Amino acid sequence: MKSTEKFSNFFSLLKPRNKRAWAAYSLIAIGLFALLFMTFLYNPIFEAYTGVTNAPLTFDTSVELTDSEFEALAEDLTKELRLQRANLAIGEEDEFSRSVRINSLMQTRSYKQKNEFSHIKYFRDAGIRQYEGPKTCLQCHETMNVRLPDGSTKKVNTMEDVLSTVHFKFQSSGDVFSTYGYDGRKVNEGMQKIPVGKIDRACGIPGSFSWTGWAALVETSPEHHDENGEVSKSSKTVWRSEGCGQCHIGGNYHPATELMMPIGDIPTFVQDGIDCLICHSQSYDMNYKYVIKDENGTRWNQDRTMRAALTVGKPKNDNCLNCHQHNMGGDLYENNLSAKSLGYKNQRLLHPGAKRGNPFSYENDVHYKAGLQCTDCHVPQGHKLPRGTKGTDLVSNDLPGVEVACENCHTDAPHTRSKQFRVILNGHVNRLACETCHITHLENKNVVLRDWVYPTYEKEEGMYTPTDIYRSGQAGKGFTYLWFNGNGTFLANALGDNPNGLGLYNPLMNQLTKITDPEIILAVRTAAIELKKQYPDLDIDKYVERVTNTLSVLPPETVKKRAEMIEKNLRSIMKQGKSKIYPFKMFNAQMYEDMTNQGPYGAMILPFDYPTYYQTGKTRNAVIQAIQHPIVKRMYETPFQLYMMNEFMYYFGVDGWKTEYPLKDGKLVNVEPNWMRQFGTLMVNHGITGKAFECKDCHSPNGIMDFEALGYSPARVKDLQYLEELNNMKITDDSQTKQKKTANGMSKR
Amino acid sequence: MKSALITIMLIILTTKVVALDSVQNDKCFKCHNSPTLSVLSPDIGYIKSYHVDKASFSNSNHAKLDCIVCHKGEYGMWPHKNDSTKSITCLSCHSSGSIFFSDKAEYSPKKSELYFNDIQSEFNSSVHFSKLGDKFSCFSCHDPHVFERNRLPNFDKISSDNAMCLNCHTQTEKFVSLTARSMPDINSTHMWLPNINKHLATVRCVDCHSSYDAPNLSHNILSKDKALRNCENCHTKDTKLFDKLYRYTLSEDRKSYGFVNGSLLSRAYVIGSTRNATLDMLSLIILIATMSGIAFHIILRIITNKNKIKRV
Repeated sequence: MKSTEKFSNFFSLLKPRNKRAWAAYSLIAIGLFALLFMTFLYNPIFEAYTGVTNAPLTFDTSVELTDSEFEALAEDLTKELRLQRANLAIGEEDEFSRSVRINSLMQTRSYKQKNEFSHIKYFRDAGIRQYEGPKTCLQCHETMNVRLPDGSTKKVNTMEDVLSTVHFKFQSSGDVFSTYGYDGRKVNEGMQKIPVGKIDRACGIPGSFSWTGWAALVETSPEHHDENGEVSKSSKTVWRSEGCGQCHIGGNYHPATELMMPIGDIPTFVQDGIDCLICHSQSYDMNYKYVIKDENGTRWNQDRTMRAALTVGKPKNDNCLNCHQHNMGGDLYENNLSAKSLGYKNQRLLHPGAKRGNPFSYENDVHYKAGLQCTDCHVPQGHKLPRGTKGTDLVSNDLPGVEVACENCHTDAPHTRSKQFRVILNGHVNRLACETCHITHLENKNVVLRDWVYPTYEKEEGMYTPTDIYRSGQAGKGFTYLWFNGNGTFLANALGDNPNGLGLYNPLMNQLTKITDPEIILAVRTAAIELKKQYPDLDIDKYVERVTNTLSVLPPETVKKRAEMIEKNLRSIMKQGKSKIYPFKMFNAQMYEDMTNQGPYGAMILPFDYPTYYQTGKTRNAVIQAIQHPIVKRMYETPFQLYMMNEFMYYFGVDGWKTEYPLKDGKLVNVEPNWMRQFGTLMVNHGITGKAFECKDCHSPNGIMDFEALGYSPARVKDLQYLEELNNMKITDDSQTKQKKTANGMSKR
Repeated sequence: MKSALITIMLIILTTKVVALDSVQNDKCFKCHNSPTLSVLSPDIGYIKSYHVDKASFSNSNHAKLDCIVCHKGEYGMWPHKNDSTKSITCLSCHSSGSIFFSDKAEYSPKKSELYFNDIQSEFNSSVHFSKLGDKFSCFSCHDPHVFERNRLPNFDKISSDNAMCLNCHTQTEKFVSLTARSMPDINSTHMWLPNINKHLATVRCVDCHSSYDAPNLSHNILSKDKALRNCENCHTKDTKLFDKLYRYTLSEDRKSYGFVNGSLLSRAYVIGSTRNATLDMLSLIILIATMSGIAFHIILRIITNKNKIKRV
């Protein structure tokens, strides 16, 4: 009796009696609904809307070992490590005594203790005989201590830390960019934050963007040479792997699309796809990086072998370079190690033209040679890595305020060797960045002009590739010199100004829109003549004009508006802070553009579908295929227009986003091939040489630096080109001769 | 070259340093205006700067001089052949018998400011000279390229004045390379000063660390055991401070506020020193009068209160 009373009392308590109670109840109901929605309904709706696929991820490389297999592998790896280090420790002698010494060193107790992989013991003791991805790592590393710059430490959840990095997200919705829109606003500084980064940044170099070019299998038919030297087309086709996903640590069927949306998160089972080992293993086998196809689509494979797992540790240069040598030295760079392990099957396609062409390697960089690690300059905080405060492109940054600069180690008076020159060289530091003199060349394969619209058939590879109209690693040709204060535009143009304040420096109207070097013009013409053999309709003169004078396609009033926008919106940003002269890799590409969304700085670039492009060379079809991807369609709809595309286009210098989908009845509408309206300029900071440019390399009438374009007065230009002082110089400096002597001594040894 | 120099000298002599807007200097500033024109050389162990800020130079007393007037030698073109900065001192110009002030030149009180003979003799007895000799010169503290004669001492300039001293006395590399001994930590050696921050903000180093003997020009820097350490030196009616910095500022304050207000409103307030005996006495009388008034009032209240209680 009493208990029923209690119950009825309880229920009567629950009955809403007044307006306030009603409000509380409806809030609870909404909350419950939201919870249910997020748990059960959001993901299917999200996948249906964006057209991306999520599924639990498994990798064949993850194999369970028996105890004896484990021990054999452990011994093998340890021996390898000890031999490798002993080889470095024991000097050159005759082969026999060398091997005797190496052997005895390897038996030494302290040497053995010092040279082993710590995780072999951990795995042995914990009974771990199979590497199953993050799951395995998190057993011990569920949380980690992050050391902050002030010396304190912070405990964080490891997985959350990884998920919050650019290496996973490929984007940021925060105010983390040093990039300004052509409308004069800093990206994401205002109220409306939009997700930008590699994930949605159309780029002429890969020719696609991350959804449409994530993980593609391309069918090629390479020629093959028989024993008589006869060339014949192989009847057997070869599958090749291609796509942005090869450098993504996610291992998923698509980039971190979930994080572009205002709500929603990465499903837990997708987190299992993260590739810890590519950064942390000392024996990661890049031959396992190839595209695999399953019932849900295509994605990139990973090395999840125990061999890789047993050698984990802090990331070393080779780990970073597994991916980053691709954009620095390039795929065809002779010391690109990962490009030598192209895959046990579906081998990765090598990109022939290098994006930056400045390798970070023992052979080409003085810091690498000195034994520096990437993380010495890019000092990590947990899994977050700083990119530096300067940058022209829209690549996201985990630690936006953190400086990565030469000055972090070198003083303002870095030159000490030559008694005659060191003072005047240090004097130059006020106006010149270190890279300006200490990067003397890029790789010859550095691509400057790439035509995606007129591909060339590569017989050896058996596929069509974009035609590189001009490649050069030479100063003043493959890269140029611009004033730079750390800021860039939305389409990667360095911003800065000549401190003389004369207002003569205007790269966006001058040197970034015109090619005047007769050698380059000739190269473009030669390439056009070559292309005409394949494409008879091509008008050579028009082609050369469009490449060498990029503003020629714009009507005069648009050019006028462009010049006005520079003065009104960008000039004050160019004048910000301290500008110095930096070297910039120049780049332009011909691609298809959606002309409905055009402004004075360019139009929305449309992506290519890789298999269609590479297999058929029919570039329009490749665009048609790519833009049918649901996410591109969504881009052309009102929700996306309001959510981010309008804002994106304001930064682009265009007055809002027009949602007319450029494909009607299977045909492209108002889509035209165009070169970008100005060169993109990419910072180059690696490939630093000890021996730098000399005075006369710049200070001569035909020097590598165009002083006039850099905004100096005519009198000063003359002054800088004909320095009287150079005639007085005597290159008999004692320290230089000494240096030469030691260099000779070294080589003899 | 030499004849050119002599001509320039002659022009300067005859025009007594008047406008000589220099094209020649612009040639020097092409390089020397760069803030990073400097070197970390092994013989000095710190970064030595060759920078001369063009803007500061054109505001300085020496703005109208050609660089090569002082920097004699073949400085026409880079690379420079010889370095003559060491042979030049302030006295080369600023002394009787120099090219500016030959014996025949008329002496006037105004011009006397330009004679540095007294300063030199003070400096010669300073600890800097006696311990470091030739290693120390006017230029160790004073940069002739930014020197402004009109920059007379005042309270706003105390920090920049002290910066001259701190330039060596806080920079270990410089101090060690000059003195070959370890640098004393000036923070701990000054900890005995009460209200230390106030002292450091309102008193110049030389106010305690230089001799007060005539001609009292603050260039006779004393060793630390001879520095003023007695509070009474300053915090007394005849404060020593009035002999140096405060003398000048007080007279300036009096000029602007009038004599009486000058004493009261002066920024040169030193506890124990800035006082007026009559005012002190007067305020003491007022204080005593007030206190006794209050005491009288309280006594009266107590008495009347007792009466009230009795009535009830």
